[in-house]
Amino acid sequence: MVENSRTRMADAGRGKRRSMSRQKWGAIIGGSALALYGITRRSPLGWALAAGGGTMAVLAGTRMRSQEPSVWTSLLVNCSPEQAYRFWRDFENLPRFMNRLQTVSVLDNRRSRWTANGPMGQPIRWDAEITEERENEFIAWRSLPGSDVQVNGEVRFQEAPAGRGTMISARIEYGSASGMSRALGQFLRKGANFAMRQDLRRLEALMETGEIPTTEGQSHGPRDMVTGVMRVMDPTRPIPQGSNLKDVFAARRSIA
Amino acid sequence: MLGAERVIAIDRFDYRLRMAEEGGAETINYEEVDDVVQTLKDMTGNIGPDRCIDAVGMEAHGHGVIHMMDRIKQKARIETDRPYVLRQAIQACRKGGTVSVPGVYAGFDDKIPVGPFMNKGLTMKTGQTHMMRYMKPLLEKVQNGEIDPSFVVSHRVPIDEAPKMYKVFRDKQDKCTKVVLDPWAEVAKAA
Amino acid sequence: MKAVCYMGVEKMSVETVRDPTILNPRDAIVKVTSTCICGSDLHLYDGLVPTMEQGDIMGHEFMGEVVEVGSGIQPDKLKVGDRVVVPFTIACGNCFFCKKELWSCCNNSNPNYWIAEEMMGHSPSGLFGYTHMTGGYAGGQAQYARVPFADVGPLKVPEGIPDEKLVFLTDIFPTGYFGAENA
Repeated sequence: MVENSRTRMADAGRGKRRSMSRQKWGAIIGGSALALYGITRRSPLGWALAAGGGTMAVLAGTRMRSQEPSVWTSLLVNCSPEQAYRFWRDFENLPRFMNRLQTVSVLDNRRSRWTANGPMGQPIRWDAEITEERENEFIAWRSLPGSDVQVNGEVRFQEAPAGRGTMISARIEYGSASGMSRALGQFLRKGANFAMRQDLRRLEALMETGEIPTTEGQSHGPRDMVTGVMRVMDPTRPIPQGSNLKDVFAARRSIA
Repeated sequence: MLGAERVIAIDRFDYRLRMAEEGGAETINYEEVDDVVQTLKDMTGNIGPDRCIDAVGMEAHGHGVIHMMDRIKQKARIETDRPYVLRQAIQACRKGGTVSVPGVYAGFDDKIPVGPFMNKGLTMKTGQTHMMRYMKPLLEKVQNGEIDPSFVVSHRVPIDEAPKMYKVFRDKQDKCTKVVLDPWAEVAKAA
Repeated sequence: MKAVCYMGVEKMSVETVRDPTILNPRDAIVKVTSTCICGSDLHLYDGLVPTMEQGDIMGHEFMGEVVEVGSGIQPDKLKVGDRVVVPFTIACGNCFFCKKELWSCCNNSNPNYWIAEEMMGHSPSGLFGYTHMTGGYAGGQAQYARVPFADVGPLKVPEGIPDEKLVFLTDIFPTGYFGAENA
């Protein structure tokens, strides 16, 4: 079990991401080459090839960020696996540290109803069921058919060596289907790994200190206009000194 | 307090060097010597100091081409820090000694002499202070009269004068060593 | 209340701002009786440390009297009326690093952990009044200050010793000692 978990830790974040990146770069380079070739032909077929190649390159480039595959994220927490498992197993606790979730209501021993923040403030809803669990070790859940979006989640709890507490590893995958579900899945997938890391960090703070550190709502002096506007839009995101407006609006990286 | 036989303090302001001498230190004004590293070797029988403390951090002043390059890079925001004193500490420290770095640094610095650091077998210890370890024992030293830290205070002003005092402290005007602000002074005057 | 606010490079100004309030159960509000300008504040004044914002309250060396405590503070740890010196680092007391007495490496006191992580690989603890990279906490160069994890950091000090002998316990005295002890 320990060997498997160590291998899994070593794999965390790697492998799949590299091969996906290769595909994307392949599409960008291949598409660009095709576009150049098409332009040099100076014929209707050439223009068609150029248009197709150019579209492929642009789409691959713009999608690179939003199509980041989900990876395992782990965190060491100073608590026992039993405490961590009990806290996570009560899914109604999850919105306390997963900022993207509004509510989770437990329906019965296996099913729950989830509501998350969606685009333009509209909620995204799905019902989920626990598909597998081993007490104090592992929980896996997935969304039920008919939900707004497809979600698969897994979390593992392992006792860390040398009495350091518990290694909590989690991964949530937002699947793609067709139509609206696909768009919502893409929305949730964007920045999902970063969001998971932040969620686990908040979980650590909750388990170890009983509260989540915050500066939201503290006193401050007069902000400049750019900072003021950005803080209204996202109070948790500070702006670097000397940023120009274009960079500020381009660099969306909300603490999910 | 910790048993050092000799302490050598290095600065460029006479009033600060005098303060260090009052505490029992020997001093070097680095603007009056050609080479601080050689001066330290001369003072220590060519061995060099056993332990070097970089108490300055990212806004060190110095001389020479490398320091000029640091200043230019810092102004251009290519480099966040000017690690002049850190380099000097590594160069000056005796072989097998320790360099302690309580001075604050912000980012990634160029031209740190890692080669000398490794070949002289030095140790570096650093970090933001682990405050809770020290506050209680040091409070006891203050309470039993072993030390009175208030000697560093040079200016006591109401909080309204803080903006001016930042400039005074930064430029070391008026023999400024430490500024203490009273947040309630103006209110007390009015009352 | 009055507070020294960062308004730009080489621009500090004393502004009237809202009094701090308890935001988390283990917070306390301290009425500041003395506060200092540190050499590290000068790095912020010169604009050399990234992630400062206009309006941030400066200062990480302050002491005073507790005027309010959150519901999560036990009376034997801290209560209203206690005279305290407040360390410039903020520590939770129960993470991997705090348990090893590496208080300035606390894992749970920097809400902007991700910014420092991008720059340094990992984040140090939260600090008062020292850029958003270390949490963006409002500092102590003000008439009142909010102190998180107030049952861990602040040290109770007796009456009868003037502030000037004690205020340096908030930063420079332990830092000097730490630097010498490390050497």
